[in-house]
Amino acid sequence: MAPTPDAANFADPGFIARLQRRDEDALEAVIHAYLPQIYRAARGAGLDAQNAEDASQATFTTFLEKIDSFEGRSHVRTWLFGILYHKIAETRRAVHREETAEDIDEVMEQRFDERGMWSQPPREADREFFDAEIRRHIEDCLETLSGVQRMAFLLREVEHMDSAEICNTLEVSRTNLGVLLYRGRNRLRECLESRNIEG
Amino acid sequence: MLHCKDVHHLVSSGAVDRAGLMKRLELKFHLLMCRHCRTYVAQMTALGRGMRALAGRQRPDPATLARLERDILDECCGHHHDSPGPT
Repeated sequence: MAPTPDAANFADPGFIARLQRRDEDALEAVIHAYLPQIYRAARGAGLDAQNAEDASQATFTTFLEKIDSFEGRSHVRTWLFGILYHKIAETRRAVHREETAEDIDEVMEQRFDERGMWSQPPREADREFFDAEIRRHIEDCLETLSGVQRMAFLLREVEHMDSAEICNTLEVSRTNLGVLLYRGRNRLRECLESRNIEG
Repeated sequence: MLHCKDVHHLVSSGAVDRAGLMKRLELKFHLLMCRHCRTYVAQMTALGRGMRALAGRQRPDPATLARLERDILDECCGHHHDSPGPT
């Protein structure tokens, strides 16, 4: 049996050529390597188990449909996550309304005085308490993020992608990514803090 | 000199990863002096930890993954999982 390539040489032109020939071993290797990550990201983006399965499957189907136009400029993983991101955006548009007003900038602005010091500092909580609060509320609070904010946050924190790869996956600029992470994390923190105050 | 507002921005936007040595030192110094920013930074770290924990709880079982893998292969190339792999 042909040796199973690991993620490290998925970028190899020979490997891409095998995928383009629909070489089953190559295909199986990619699916095996990335399906768990793709599924995990779909769940993290807010899809339920069934929708996450469907989105994962659709991601690989699209990947294969488009494999002939893949030039290997981006890594296979970047490409797969990019496809998934678009699938999720489609699904979310059907169920969620994407907010356009960005109120979190205003909220954060009000937490500082004119000298740039905290006027409303974050509520202190010990690590265990805060972790427990996150565990209780994170799924609800993630719903306050837009789709792209949430995806940027999870690619960074769960998949440990660097900024360049996230920018390629989501097709955003470096500056834009900073804004997405800023708003996503602060929305999440604000939401958790308000839950914590309400008990 | 860094103010709290700069600190919260550097940390939550991820700009701190690209900050130069001087800026990092300033940040370290600020955090030594400022309890509120220490709280904020600890909470930012906790958010990442919480997200990874959620991902761990939502991990599919191996049987589900194996089934999905077969479904994808079936769909794309009429793959039969009982066939002898090599070509």
